[in-house]
Amino acid sequence: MKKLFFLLLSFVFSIGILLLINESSTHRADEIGLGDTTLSYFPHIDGYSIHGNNSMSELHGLKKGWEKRGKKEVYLWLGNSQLHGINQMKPGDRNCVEIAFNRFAREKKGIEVIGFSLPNANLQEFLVAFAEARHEMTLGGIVVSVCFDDLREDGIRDELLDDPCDTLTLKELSEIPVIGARLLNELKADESGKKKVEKNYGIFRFRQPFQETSEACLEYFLADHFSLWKRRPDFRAFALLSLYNFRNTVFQIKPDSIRFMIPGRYQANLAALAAILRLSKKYSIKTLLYIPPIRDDVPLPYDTRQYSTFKEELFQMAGQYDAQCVNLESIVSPEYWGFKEGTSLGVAVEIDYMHFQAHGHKLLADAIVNLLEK
Amino acid sequence: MIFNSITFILFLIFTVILYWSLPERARLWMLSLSSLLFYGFWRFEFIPLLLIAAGLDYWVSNEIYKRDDRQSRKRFLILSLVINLGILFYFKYLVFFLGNVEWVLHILGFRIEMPHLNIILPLAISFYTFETISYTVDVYRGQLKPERNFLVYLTFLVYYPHLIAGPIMRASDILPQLRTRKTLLPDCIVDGIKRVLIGLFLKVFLADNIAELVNSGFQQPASALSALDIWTLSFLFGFQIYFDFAGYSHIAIGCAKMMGIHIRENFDFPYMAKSPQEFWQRWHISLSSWIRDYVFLPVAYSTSRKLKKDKYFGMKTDHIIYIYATSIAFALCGFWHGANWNFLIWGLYWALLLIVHQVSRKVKVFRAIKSNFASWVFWLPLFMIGWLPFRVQNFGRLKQLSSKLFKPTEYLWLGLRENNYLIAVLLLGLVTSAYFVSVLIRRFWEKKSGYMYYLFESLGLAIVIVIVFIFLRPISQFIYFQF
Repeated sequence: MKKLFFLLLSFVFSIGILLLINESSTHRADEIGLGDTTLSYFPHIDGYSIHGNNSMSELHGLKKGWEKRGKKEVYLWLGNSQLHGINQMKPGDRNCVEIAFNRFAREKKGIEVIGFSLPNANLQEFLVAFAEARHEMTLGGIVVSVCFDDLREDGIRDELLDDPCDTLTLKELSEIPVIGARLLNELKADESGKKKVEKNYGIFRFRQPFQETSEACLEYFLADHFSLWKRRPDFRAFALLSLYNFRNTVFQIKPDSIRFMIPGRYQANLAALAAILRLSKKYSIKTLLYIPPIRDDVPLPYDTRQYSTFKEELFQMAGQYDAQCVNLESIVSPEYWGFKEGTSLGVAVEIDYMHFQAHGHKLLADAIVNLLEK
Repeated sequence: MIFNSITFILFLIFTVILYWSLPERARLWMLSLSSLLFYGFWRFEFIPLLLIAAGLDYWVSNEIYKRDDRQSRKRFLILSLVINLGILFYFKYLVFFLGNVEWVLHILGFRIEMPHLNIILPLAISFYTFETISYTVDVYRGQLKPERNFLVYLTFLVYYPHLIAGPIMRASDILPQLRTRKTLLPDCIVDGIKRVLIGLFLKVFLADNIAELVNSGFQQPASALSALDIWTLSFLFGFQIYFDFAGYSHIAIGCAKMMGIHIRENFDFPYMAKSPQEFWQRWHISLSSWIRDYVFLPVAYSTSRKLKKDKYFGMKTDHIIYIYATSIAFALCGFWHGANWNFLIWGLYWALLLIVHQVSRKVKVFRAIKSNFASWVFWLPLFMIGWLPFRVQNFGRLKQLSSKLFKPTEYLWLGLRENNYLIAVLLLGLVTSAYFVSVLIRRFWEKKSGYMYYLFESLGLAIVIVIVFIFLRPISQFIYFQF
């Protein structure tokens, strides 16, 4: 009976811990990386999204508004959380995508700007998004934010698998050298658009329709009746963030710690960029690459040699495919940047290298629109 | 049905309550039917195959027992082996076999295309085939009386906690337990729940999160990985597969415990082993003991009867027998895991380690390494790098990656995210400290501290419960489900 008592005590303790986490974790899972001081902003026009976020279904959702607005020629703006994150956001603030959309709506009747951004987006994900968007809407141009930091990322995130890609997109991806086969594998499809049975250890290896149905029903029931169950994705994000902060504390990793390039990922991302440029040239889609704004009143968290090489390679590649390339590193001055929650234990605030305030969004939008109008 | 799901948790609660609520006779019916339901959640159409395997060996073992004539008994044994292994060969190895025949014919200049078959591998077939074989062999050897009650035998074979991925149970352990009346003991329920929680923690928190790093790392082209990256990924996969499979085993043992059935341990801190031999006494113990009892020892015995001299070609007969039997046993062990040459390479790699260890014991230089720590430091990397052929199931890629390990220049750069290295080191620390806490400190503290020990254990378990609650999702199968 002693053992039983202490087991029950464990369950009591665990409920207490969960309630504590419930109080502490006020963010949604998809916003947790931004912290308290930066909020996500995804503009809508007449109830339709003009800026999709972090999933294939959201990308597909952009089509509805585009059709309603008369199927104008689209300039698709691809970026990371800098596109949708507004530091120290106040009521009435707009992000760069909405500002650009409104400017084009005033000045150029036949063109509109639509955004699609993912936190820490890599160029392989941009390639998939671009290839898919081309089959969804009439693309006149693309604007690609090429962030050096995000070239350390790799692969296609699970959220981009929530809706299947068009079979023409998959066919197009299959023809891309070096990374095409890998992208198809990650999208869990073959070039005919069929879902592939995973050769490795994933759940699709053993198709279990009864399990999938029962699990979906139970998940729905529990989320509907228990708020703690519904908030599990947020708790997961909180747990992983806490581990991340703990790691940073133990190993003294700070925002200004140097981030080195990871060769394999760097090459894969550049191969994806080359594929984007080839496709845009093939289909006469205007392309604007830009090095995004970064806070420059403090030392950059990059190896200077690697960063210079990256910029050179980017301009070279753009020239090779007749794309426009511009360095917008310094267009947002220090006073329009902000701070974020500390990413180490005991550190309240840290410099935010990536997310600026609303005025920074205006500066970026104006710079991009001016370049596009040229 | 997979363990790391809400469906299974409800299923477990329901079956345990029903088990203890039903009269003794009805319990076996309940266990068998619920186990078949558990299996059928994957594919109901393969239940007849499972029942055929059960029926066949139930009948064969009783026929063997009835007969005194050795030849007649042997014929029934061979019948059972041929049918069981034939079924296993058809579902698991036929496509591989045909592929290799086609390849050989093409090399010899014959342009013959083998039929391309789309055969689905039935879940758990490798596990239950080994169990039925061991049962029939034990009856043949006179070590076990056959079970007369088909329901008892069927329950032993299909019992859901161990059905899909072991532990491979011995009939002599389980059949008596199924026959005897059991009383509900609260401690069994408590211990069982703890084991299930620990198993889920290992799977949904550790194994599944490590899997993301491992999958991402192995997706890189070979040119993007340095030798140190390959070592790191091998260590990470070694931890992933350990937490995954040990987690499964904990859940299986815990579920059985809740019903008063004791299943033997399947893992005992294998990465603390100080020799290859010790590793296999700690890793997938039910498989290694099966291989020892039904392959290694019979092969060694029959070989020893054929080799009469003390030495052959300058080598002692004992060594020759050991090398031969070990190679056969581990080749089979490798192939049991999958129809792929890489699994054979994995098995033979282990055979080599065991043989080298056996031989080196006699060598003065190696005898000088008396320190346990030095032995551990020497052998652990060799255990971990052995996972490379297991994980990389493409021979060409295996060749590319393993060749890097022998190039000094490949040790001068790194190609993975920093987290990979940090987490590999962290996990090594975690596993070694868990060993010391579990084996050394806990025993001492439990005796000395009484209630304080239980209080701290409660707090620890509470954290485990919270983590399982947060991370429980059926996002991936257990690795050993594919075998």
